[in-house]
Amino acid sequence: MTLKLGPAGVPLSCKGRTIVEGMDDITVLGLDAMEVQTVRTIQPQHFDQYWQAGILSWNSDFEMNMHGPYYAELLGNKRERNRTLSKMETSLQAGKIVNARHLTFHVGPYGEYDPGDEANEQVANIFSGVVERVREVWGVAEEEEDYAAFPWVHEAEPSLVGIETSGRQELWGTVEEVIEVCNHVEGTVPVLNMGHIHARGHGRLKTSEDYAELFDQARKSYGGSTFYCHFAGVEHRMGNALHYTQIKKSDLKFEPFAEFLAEEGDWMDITIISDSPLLEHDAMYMLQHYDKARQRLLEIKARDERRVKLATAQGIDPEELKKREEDEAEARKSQLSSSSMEKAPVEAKKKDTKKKSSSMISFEDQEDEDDIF
Amino acid sequence: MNNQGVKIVGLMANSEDIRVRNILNYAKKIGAEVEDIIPSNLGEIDWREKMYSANWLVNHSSTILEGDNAKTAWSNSMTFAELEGCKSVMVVEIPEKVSELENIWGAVIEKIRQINILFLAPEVVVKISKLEGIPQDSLLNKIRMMSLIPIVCSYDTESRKATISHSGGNFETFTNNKLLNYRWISAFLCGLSDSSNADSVLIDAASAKFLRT
Repeated sequence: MTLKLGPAGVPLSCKGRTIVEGMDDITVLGLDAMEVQTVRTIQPQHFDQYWQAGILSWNSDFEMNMHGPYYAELLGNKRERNRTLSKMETSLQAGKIVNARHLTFHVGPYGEYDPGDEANEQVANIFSGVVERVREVWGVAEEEEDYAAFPWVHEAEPSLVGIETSGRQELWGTVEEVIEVCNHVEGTVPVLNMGHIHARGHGRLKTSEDYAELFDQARKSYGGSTFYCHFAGVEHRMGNALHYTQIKKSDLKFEPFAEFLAEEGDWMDITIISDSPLLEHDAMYMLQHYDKARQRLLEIKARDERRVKLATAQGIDPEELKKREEDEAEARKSQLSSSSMEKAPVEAKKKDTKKKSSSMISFEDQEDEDDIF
Repeated sequence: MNNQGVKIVGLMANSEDIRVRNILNYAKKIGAEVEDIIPSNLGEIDWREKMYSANWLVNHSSTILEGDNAKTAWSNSMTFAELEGCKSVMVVEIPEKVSELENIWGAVIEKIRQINILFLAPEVVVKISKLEGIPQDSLLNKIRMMSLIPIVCSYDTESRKATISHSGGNFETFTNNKLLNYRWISAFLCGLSDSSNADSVLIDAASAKFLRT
């Protein structure tokens, strides 16, 4: 499994504000991806910065991505659609310079369409054109002489076009719609924005099974194993996302996702971008939880292996040994609880005196062990 | 006019920055507790202490044009506000060099997820509407819908009209008197309960109702 994690934009804690400085900071934090945010026009100073970032990412294992315009109306009238496409064009150009692996785009409101096949077909047609344009912009290595500055044009595939799920009912982009379009347009990839999916599904992502169901759905109907996800806390009401929040303040938790990735994510090549208001802080929070989930899984595996070995040595069934171990653990537990009941009054007294006598600050009461800041 | 209990922290570009200073001074006059942050030496700012008990952090879009220190402080302040549960207010007005508007709007968009209230001056609405190719009358709503900012608002001194777009819908209301932008912003923040986006609270705050009592 390949998992890459990073923030949507230059880290908040980065002293400089250029993309390259941001990449340095992200690497120092132990993260390995970044999504460059909306660009308006590419000016000479941007070009230089993007190209430096592209070279740096090409020479390292750092994944660059780019997010298109935050405002889109691809299903609007001709004028609205063309305006959106012209904004997207800038992102396509910048995507090549920065060596972006994914270019993420919104579709926007349903506009003149009702949700359904007709709208999906229109989106698919538009994105076929976008993929074609990405390939045109990327260029053909044999026909160009001045690609020494862009080695990725020779050796890497053009950027994948990501279509993002939306967080509001009036915007095109349910999981089903996105997957259907990606299924029909080669060169596109679903961008699963978990906050949006959670909000639109009235808080549907609660357990690791919910994530398993989501990715199963994607695997069955889309077929690919490459996923690009956004993750942030979200406030939602009536199936609509209201506001992004830090992960800790949301009912969308990362732990179940981390558990799913650790246990069942072997087949996936996944990039997770933190678009929380606490960009890199929450990206690190996610990394920490993923590591914990993997660690827990390894411990369980090691225990199971040890049990099999012991059972073989004793000539019994591992399941029987497991049962015995559980019974013993249960017995130990009840013994401990009964003895602690006896000691309880004495302990309580002791604690009371300790509290009174100690004027030192105690850190024992601080239960928030996940707080990395 | 009882706004005791509302605390507003303002990030100034420097000690002579009157854009945020005006908002703080008027908020103080109408009863709020205010505090300024001047980013002369970033290492000396205790962000957490400043944000801990504050309801609102006021930032101005033009601060980013005042050098690296100011730009870093601008960015840091919103992060610490988010961490400490203080809500961020971004005031976007036309910069001295109008050509810089595109630049500052780009910087605001980058920070959009950390902003709780986005105020756009009427002249800015006109310019950004052209820049984004969105009709003026739907600009606030479209920005809010796509960026998920809880409140996007504007106030026109001449017509006394406040326009608000929030998660519950959009509305326009009028203040009794002509207020300068900074005064309206102060009154709006003081009138808002930061825990409620209920329509009635918003309408009262946007029409600066408590200034009349």
